[in-house]
Amino acid sequence: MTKYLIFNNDSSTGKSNKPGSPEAVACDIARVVDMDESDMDDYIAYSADMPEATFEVLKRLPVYSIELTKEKIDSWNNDALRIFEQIENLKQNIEDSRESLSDAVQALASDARYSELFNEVDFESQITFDGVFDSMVQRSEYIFSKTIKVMFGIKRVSSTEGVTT
Amino acid sequence: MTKYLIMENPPNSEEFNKSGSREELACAVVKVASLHDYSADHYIAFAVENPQASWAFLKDSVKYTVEIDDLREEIWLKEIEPLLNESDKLSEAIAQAYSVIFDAAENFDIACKKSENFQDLAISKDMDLDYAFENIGNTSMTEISEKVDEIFEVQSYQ
Repeated sequence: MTKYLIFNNDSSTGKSNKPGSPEAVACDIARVVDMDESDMDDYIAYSADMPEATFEVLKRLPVYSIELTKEKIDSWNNDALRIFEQIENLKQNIEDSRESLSDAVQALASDARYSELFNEVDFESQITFDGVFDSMVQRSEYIFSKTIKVMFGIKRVSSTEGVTT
Repeated sequence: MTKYLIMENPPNSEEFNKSGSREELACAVVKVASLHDYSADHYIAFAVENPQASWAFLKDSVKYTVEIDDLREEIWLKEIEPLLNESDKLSEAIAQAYSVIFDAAENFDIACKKSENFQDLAISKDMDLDYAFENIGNTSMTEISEKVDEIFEVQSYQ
């Protein structure tokens, strides 16, 4: 079992983890747990027993730490990634649907604006759905993120604001 | 101005409103005003001077009356119908969204069941799509219906 420390990465340094490496897997897991749309190079991971890790820790605390085995890495690559793709597909469908509804409401509102009978009806304010779609996205992300967090035992060490307690 | 009497058209009836007629328009008005999702042939209308209208009165089978004249017909064609089309498109978009998201959530659950480590994970139930979509209040039909009810002086006899 190897412990990896995951740090915020400054893209201007040009540093990044080798795709497919355990370090890159560690960063991918961190990004799923974060539930935001961060880029692949927003994190960089080092094996805890490497001098780079020590050097980085002297400068700042890692955001996450994670212990990975070959089995865990295989689970990520062969199992979790497939589920992750399904979550991404679900999120994409939710966003596409939100866009379709938004277009339909805008077309309705536009017709109403030029109508003598309905020009005072504000359909865009009346027909709201953003909250519903946001909630669907957050719910699906949260369920997957929570499962990944428990399954891979990733631990948050510090936030961008400071050390977590 | 002409008053139209609207009654239910029995399923085996061979009588229909003539396409493009005011009788047909009267039935369309009632459909919108009552917010019912009946087929176009569910109702049949007669102008009040039509003998069949008197007969319907005697049989107590009148369900609605509506008032139509040239101006109201023009309002229907120029104002109501285009908005109804947009409202229908919105309803279709909502139904399509439900279907697409439901399928994607189901696919997620199926993938989880087939997986080695995520068999206990399921999202369809947790997302409660029925409840979520109930909260998308498409008020357009209600707004249009209220206005149609007012303009065409729809009276219900149910």
